[in-house]
Amino acid sequence: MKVKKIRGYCFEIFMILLVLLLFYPVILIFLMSVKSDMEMIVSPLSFPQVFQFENYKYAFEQMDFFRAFGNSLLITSSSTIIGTVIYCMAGYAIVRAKSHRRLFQTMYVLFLLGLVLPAQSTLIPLLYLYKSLGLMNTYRGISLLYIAGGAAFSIFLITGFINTVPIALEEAAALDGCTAFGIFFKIVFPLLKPIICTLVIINAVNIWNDFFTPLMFMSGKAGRTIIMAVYMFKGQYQTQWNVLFAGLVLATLPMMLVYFALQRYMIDGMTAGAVKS
Amino acid sequence: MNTAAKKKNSRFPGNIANGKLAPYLIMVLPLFTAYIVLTVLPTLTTVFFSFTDFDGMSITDFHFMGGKNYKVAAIDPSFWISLKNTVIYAVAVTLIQNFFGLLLAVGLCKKMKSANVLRTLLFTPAIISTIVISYAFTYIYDTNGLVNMILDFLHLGQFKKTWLGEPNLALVCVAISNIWRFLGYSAVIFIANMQSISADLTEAASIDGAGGFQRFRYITFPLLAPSVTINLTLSFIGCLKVFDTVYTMTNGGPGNHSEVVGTYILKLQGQNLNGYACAVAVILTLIIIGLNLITFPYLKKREDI
Repeated sequence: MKVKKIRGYCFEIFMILLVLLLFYPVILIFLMSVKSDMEMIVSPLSFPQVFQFENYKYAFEQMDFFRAFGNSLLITSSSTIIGTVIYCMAGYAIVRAKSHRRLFQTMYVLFLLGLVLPAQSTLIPLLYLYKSLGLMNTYRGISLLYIAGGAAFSIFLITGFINTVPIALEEAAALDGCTAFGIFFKIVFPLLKPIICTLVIINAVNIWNDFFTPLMFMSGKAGRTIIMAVYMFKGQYQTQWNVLFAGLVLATLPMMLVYFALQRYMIDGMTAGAVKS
Repeated sequence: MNTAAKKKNSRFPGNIANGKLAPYLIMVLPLFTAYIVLTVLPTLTTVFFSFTDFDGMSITDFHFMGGKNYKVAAIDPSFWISLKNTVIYAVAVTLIQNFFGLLLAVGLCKKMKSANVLRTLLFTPAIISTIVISYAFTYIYDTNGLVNMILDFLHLGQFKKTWLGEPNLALVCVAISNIWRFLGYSAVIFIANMQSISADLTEAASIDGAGGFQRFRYITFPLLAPSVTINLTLSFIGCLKVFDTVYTMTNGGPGNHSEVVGTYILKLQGQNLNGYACAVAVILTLIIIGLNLITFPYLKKREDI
C-alpha cells in the first residue's frame, strides 16, 4: 500500500513538472515583459534581476491602451449581449414553433451550415458591401458581423438545450392565456441561464481574441481593438521583444483575470457542446 | 357540439401559442435576417464572383469568364502548394494534438490533489488570443530566441537556425505553436468524457487480470468515441481554416513554403484578383465540407459500438 502511495506522489510530481513545462511559454511572456534591454540580450532565460516597468509605460502609450481596451470592451459586450438575446429567441422559435415546421427546419439546417464555412468564403462580398454601405470601421458594422458569425454555433448549442427543457410549464402558461412572447421572456428565458452563461463565455472569448474580422473591417486607428493594437505595435517594434511582450501582457491580462476568477465555469463553458454532461 | 369540441380542442395549448406562425417568425427573424445578409448571401455571391473577373472595386464592371478561374487554379502551382500545406498541416496537427491531448488526459484523470489546478493551467492557452501566442512563439523561434539559447546552453550551437526562415521547418514551427495552444483544450474534452465512464467497468477488467494498458485499450478507449469524434472534427475543421497563426508568424514565407489556402486567398485579394480569390475560397469551402462528409460518418459509427 505504501509503495503505491509513493508511486502516486511521484506520478503527481511528474505531472506537475510536465504541466509547468507546458505552461512555461505563458510564464515567459510575463517574465520577458519586465526585463531590461540589457538583460534581454545577456540572460533572457533567467528570472529578471531588475523589473523594468518602463516597458509597460511605453507599450501602454504606444498601444493607446485605454482606447483599445475600451473598443474591445464595447465591441465584445455589445455583440455578446445583443447576440445572446436574439440567439435565444431564434433558437426557441426553431424548436417550439408548431406550424410551418419545414420552414423552421430549413432555417436550422442553414444555420448549421455556417459551422463549416471559413471566414474567407464571405470575405470579398462583405468587404464590398461594407465599403459601399459605409460600415467599414464602425462599431455597429463589426458587431453585426460578430452576431452573424456566432449564429451557427450558438443556434447549435441553444436548440440542443431547449430540447431538454420540459414543455409542460409553457403549456400551462399558454392555458392561462400567456402569449408566445410572454412565455418566452417570463418562463423560458430564466430557465436558459446555464446555456446563456455558456453562450456569453464562448462568444465573448472568441470576439475579444478575434483577429481576422478587425484586420479586415476595423483597421482604422480610432476603432482599434486591443488585439489589433498589438498587431500594429508588433509592426513597429519588431525587435524590441521586452516592450512587445509588455504589450502582449496588456492584451492578455484582462481575459486572463476573468479566466482565473471563473476558471471552472470558463472551462465548462468553452468545452460545452463538445461534451454532453 | 362538434364546433364546441373543436373550440375546446383549439384551447389546447399546442394549438393556441405554438400553432401560431407570426410570433415565432418575429422571434427568429432578427437573427435569420442578419445571418442571411451577412453569411448566406455573401457565400452565394462568392460563388457567383468566382465565375467572373471582379476586381473588388466596381460592381458594374466585371465580366463572366465561365470556369476560367477554376482552370487557372488547377494549374496554379502556388495554389497547389498552399492546398498541400493546408491538408498536411490539418492532418498532422489534428493527429498529434489529440494523441498528446489524450495522454495528458489519462495522466490528469488519476486521483491527484493538484488535478484541478493542473487542468486550469493546461487550458489557459485556449483563452489567449492567437496573435499573442504567435508573437510569443515568434520570439521563441527567433535567431536570438529561446530555442537557440537552449541549444547554445546545451553546447549544440551547430543546430542553431532562424527557425521560421527555414523553408522546410517554417510550417512545422507554426504547427507546434498551434498544437501547444489547443493541447489543453483537447485534454479537457477527453477528461470530461473519461469522468463519465463508470469505474465499475475498469475495476471488473482489472479483477479479470487486465493490465493498465489493456484496460485502456479495450475498455476506456472505445468508450471515449464521442470525445474522439468531437475533438478530431473540431481540430480538423479549425486547421483547414487556419489563417491567424500563419499570417502573423510567417505570412506564408519563406517564399511560399508555409503558405496555406487561408493566407493565399488574402494575398490574391490584396492583388485585386478578387474573382480568382473567390474561386479559391469556394474550393476551400468545398474541401472542408467534403472531407467532413467523409470522416464524420465514420467517426460517428465508432460511437455506436
